[in-house]
Amino acid sequence: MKLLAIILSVVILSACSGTKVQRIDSSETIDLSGAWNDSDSRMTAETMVADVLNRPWINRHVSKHGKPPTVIVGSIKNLTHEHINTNTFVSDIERELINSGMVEFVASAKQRGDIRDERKDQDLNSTEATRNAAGQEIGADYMLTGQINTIIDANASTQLRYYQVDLTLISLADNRKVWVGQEKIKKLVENSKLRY
Amino acid sequence: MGNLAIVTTVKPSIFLLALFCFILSGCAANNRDVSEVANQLRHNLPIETALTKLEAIKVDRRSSAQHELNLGYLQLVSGDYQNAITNFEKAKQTMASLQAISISENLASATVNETFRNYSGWPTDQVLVHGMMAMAYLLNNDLNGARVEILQADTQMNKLAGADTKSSHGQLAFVRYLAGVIYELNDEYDSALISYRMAFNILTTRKETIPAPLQQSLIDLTSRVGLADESKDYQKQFSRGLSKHYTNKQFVFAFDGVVTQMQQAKSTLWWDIDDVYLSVALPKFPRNNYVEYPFYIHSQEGEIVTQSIESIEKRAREDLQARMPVISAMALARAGAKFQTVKELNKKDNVLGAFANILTIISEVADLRHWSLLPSSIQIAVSYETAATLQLSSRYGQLFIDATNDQQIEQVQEIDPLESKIIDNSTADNQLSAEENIEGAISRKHITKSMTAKSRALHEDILKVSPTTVEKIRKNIAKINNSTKKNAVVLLSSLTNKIHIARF
Repeated sequence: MKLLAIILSVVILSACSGTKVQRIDSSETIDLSGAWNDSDSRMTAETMVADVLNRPWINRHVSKHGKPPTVIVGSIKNLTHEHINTNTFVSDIERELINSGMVEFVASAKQRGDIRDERKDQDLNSTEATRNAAGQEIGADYMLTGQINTIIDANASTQLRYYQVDLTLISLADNRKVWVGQEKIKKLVENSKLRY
Repeated sequence: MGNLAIVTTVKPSIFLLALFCFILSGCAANNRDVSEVANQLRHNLPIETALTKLEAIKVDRRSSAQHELNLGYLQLVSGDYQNAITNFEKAKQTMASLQAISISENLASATVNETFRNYSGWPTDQVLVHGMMAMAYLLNNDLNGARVEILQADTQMNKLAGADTKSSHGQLAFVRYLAGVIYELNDEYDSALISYRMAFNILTTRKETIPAPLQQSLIDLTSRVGLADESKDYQKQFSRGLSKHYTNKQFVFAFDGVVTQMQQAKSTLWWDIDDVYLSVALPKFPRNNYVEYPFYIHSQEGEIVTQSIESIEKRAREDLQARMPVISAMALARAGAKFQTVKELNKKDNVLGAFANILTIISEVADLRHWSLLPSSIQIAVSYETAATLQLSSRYGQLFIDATNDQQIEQVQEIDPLESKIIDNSTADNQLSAEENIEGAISRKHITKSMTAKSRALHEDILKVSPTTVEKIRKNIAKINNSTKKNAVVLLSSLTNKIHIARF
């Protein structure tokens, strides 16, 4: 009986450990469930941006127009098995492209709407010296669009998760596809067959 | 002195007995309360009251997934899509985390009873949770979210079927059909056709009737993707032709009834050779007395009747039947273990043996947990109205959805699909005449919408009427401007008499 009581107490106490928080580096890769996570988003963005910046379309554009290309990120469609927030992926791509200094970037459609509202407000309320006039925006030369797809193969305890990210850079002047990039991630997720 | 020794020996047993009784009463009470809500819902308990009752139930951690599934379903049919998604997601994750075999739970179920297991969902629950979530996303105007869920449902169904491609284990025609609808709304006709074919195969394997909307979708989509021969085969098989070219297709889903509650079958017998009571408790479903009531859609082209695509009553019974060998074997093993324990204790001390025997009888409880608030049947219909009156009726009431602007209306209630703004009834007539392009306008004679209901009207049109008979027609008129040429998903439920509409 005493032994039973001790075992019971240990089991109960072991389940009562409090919340523990540990700060970790944001670039550290931690896989918990095998689902798409921040590391996938960041690493895919870095790889694909490195690829897009090393292709001949940039040099062709610079030699033709005498200035770096202006890019806008369009929609990145989530066609996966997961509820992925593609906004973080878009942000990662934007950051990498802007920080490369090789392309110029313009605000997205939604951001432009907010900025135009602000400009209208400036028209009414700001001083002449500080007011920004309408009609001075830079039009994008290229739009980056894409999609994330998955193929999942699973049995009772093992899953093979295959992610494919396809990005396409399209010239807004003539709809030419100037770059097509593809990044693949394959994960083997093995879940325990037993639990306590 | 002898008496004192007996009391000392018995004390821990009494404590254990009380502890077990307490634990078991908690589990049983949880399930009893949920079953009571289910039975009351079947007898016209308002869904808001049912939700309040359900939320008030203190749920054991082991039954959290079951509770979240029930809560999510009621929230879905009452129009609270966001909370429905949250609860379904929690249930989904809990069920997924419980797929591994638990040592402690198996030990407990082999020695005490099955309710010591965490509720990990029946195969139907594990698939249907994705279907219900997809429906919640759809009605929340999130087509991409719905698409994610049906992809997950596909993975889950494939996993349950395993290597046996003809297995019907955990295969739901409703979810396959819903997948087809979602793909079709997303202009992915190849994928839609594959899903419709899968729904067709499931129903054919089960030797069930193929509902007319599925027949029509198979005919139309095979033709659309260029499989003319296959389309002709389907036309011949179903004795129907291609539908007219549509721009406004209304996919109607109807949830009817509440699934029958599981019951306990318990047998206790006196084994006089060893002076021990033996007890075995097993779960069972009572006879299926469900009578399917269809919903009717009256349009200018005639009357359309919803047809069953999924009998949850049958699926729930099949799930139990499939697991019965394991449950029965475990019950027998448990009875053997309990018998041996009582016998040994009887040898040491008769009083202790008697207490232990009472304990084994009380602790023998069948696990009656299942997704108990699901509808008895899921029905479907499709209409192709462009500028006509859609009138929906069932045994619960009669509703109209009107697509024309010249309908005689007494009171108008307008819902802006973007701002979820409900205009005051007294000023609504003027609003209607002022605006020619009304996205959605709803009118009814008796408007009793509360602020709670208003807040739930995000991106949806909800009609609510008092329950009435089919014969007693009320002036409930909804106006939908179909000039935008949008397809729609409509959800009806016998629990609420609300209509949920999302346009794509």
